[in-house]
Amino acid sequence: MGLDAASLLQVLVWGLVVGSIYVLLATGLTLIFGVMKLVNFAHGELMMWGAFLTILIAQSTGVNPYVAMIGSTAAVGLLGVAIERLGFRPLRGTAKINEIFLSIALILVLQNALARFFVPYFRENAQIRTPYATEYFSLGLVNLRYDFVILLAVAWAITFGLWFVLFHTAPGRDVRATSQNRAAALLMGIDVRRIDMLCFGIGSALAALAGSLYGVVNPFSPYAGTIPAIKAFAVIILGGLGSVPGAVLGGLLYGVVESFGTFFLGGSWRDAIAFVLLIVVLMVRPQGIFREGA
Amino acid sequence: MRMSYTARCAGAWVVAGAIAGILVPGSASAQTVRLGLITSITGPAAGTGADQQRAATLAVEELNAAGGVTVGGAKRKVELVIGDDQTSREGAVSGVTRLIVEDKVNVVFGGLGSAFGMAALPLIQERGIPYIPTPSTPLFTRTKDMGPDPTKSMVFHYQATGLMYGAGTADFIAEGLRPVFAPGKPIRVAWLYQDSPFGAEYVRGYTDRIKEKNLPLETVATERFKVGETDYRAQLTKIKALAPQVLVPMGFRGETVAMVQQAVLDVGIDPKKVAIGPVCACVDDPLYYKDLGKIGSHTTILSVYSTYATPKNPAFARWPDFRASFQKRYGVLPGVLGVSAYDAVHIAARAIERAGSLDSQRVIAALAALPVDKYVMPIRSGKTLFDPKYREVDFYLIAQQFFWDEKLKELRPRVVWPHDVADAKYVHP
Repeated sequence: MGLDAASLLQVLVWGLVVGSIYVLLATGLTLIFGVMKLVNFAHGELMMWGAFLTILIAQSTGVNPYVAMIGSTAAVGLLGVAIERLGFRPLRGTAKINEIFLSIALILVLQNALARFFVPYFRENAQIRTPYATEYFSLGLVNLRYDFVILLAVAWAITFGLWFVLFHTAPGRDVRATSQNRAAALLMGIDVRRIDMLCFGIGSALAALAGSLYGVVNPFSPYAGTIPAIKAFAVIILGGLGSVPGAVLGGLLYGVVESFGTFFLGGSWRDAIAFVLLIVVLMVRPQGIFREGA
Repeated sequence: MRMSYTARCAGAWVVAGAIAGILVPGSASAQTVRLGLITSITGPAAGTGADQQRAATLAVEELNAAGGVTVGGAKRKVELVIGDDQTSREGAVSGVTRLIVEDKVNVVFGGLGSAFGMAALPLIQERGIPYIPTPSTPLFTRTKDMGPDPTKSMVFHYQATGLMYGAGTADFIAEGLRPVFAPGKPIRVAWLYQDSPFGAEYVRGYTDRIKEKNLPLETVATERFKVGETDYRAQLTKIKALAPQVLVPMGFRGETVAMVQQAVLDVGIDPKKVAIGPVCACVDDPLYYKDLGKIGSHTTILSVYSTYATPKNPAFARWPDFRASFQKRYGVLPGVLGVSAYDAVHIAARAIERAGSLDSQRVIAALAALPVDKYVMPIRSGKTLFDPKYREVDFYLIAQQFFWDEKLKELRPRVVWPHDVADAKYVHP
């Protein structure tokens, strides 16, 4: 097998690209879990709604898909707010099983609702076409499509922005306080229900953005969000439940290991490799790379 | 006015009879021939399932427009009953159960995914219903208990199998691509194929044919991917490093589009140095020509039916008329899986006519005793005939090369192999 530097660099780049998508997805998921202690199994479906709305906006208005992403991200963020307000909030304080079943029900509802609109236009799958599909950026040994460069830039700008808001602003402090001790935050006058709604909305918007970026470089379908969402769950366990830095590091690690694993062992191992990594890390650090809620 | 006792009794019997007619399943079917299409109406493959549904509906409409099917001297209308496999094994079992038990269909046919059809096979066996599956796995008729003894089998496989496609791929590379890319020496071939029974059969057909004919093909990579995968870049990077002269991306339509685009646009495999294709016949669908875009220029496909091209040979003569009828009825063109469902309806109808009865055993015997004139899918002998050993049909495979049509802004094909039906020579990009 050719182990030349160009191939290895290219595989590393593919790993960073897919890892950046995992980072966005896992960050949203961990934000929701950190604050609400809620596992939203329908996160992958929100991701696919994001991709679908982007292609819909871009095709119907003719705007650049990257501009369309602003609309789709906002729309899915609002959908997330509605889901929290009308779905999860009334269940708060009841048995956890209710939340689990609601999120499973959401998978079916969101998936089938999307298929209802998607299938007549795209049949099995679609891909978001941008004007930069044949424009390249040179990294010396390899050429990288502009779309990948934009994907990396957007994903990291958003992740950095989120980190800044969480750790350097008053609303971010409220979110962290709610995550660390909900009762104490409430006593300090923080409107924790508003924080719940905000975090669910931001988490959903991040899933939508991840979906849109995913849809630029990969084909997608109403059913394609399941596997990335499962991996995002694994990422947040790997990184430490509720930890944003953990989700970032875990997502990148996952993407790179998955990419090199596929390169060396073959595509059949792609999903298994990432979970082997999870098992290995948990054997050494059962709490994940970062402690819970870091 | 008071009704007499007799009139009231007669009225009660009429009402009871009407209610029984409504409530008893299958009672309404006494005057019709019921053909059960099992396909994906919901789930990820629903789009292709709709293609099968439309094609089967067209065939039924044609039969009914001609008066229906003659059974025992009387004309009976044909009724199409749809079973949804929900793009899953479990869905296939429940869909086929419903078709057989509730709808009491006379023949079950169609299907997209081999795994779904195979999941329902034990039920078909148990009930002894004639079955014409259209997915590609040869296991429909080659499993131990279904294949060797045709008298015990009710399955008649109407689709080119993965083994046939694999063998055709090897033949086309040796005869069509090697003279261009590696004259006088072995040609280096890399595979990126679906990790499924379908993919495994495809590669097995290819390797068996190389051994059988001692073809000068050197297989430098056999990379796999999981069904539904969307990112092939790591495998393609590995393949590129092995410097193949042919890349065979084998998968369903969406998978193939993504593989070709990622190979050329992302990984940088140069179509001038590497022949891309032949891709699987299962992707020959109007959307493939549209979705692949300009990047698909000069790539090739091994087909059993073409969406646009018509080779100059009687085996393919019905394609233009069929396309025209389908487009007139639905405003779109069918894909290869739709075509096989269309043919299966006609084959089932003809077998029932020959059987002169709706009795399953007699219909099975009639199917086994075909030939009838072929329908749309090309068959070498010109007759639809299930071979007595495996109850498969000897389809006529062709290779097409795609070219970008600037006016249509879509790809269009030219038949480049086999040479006796080709309308153009393979063009090196």
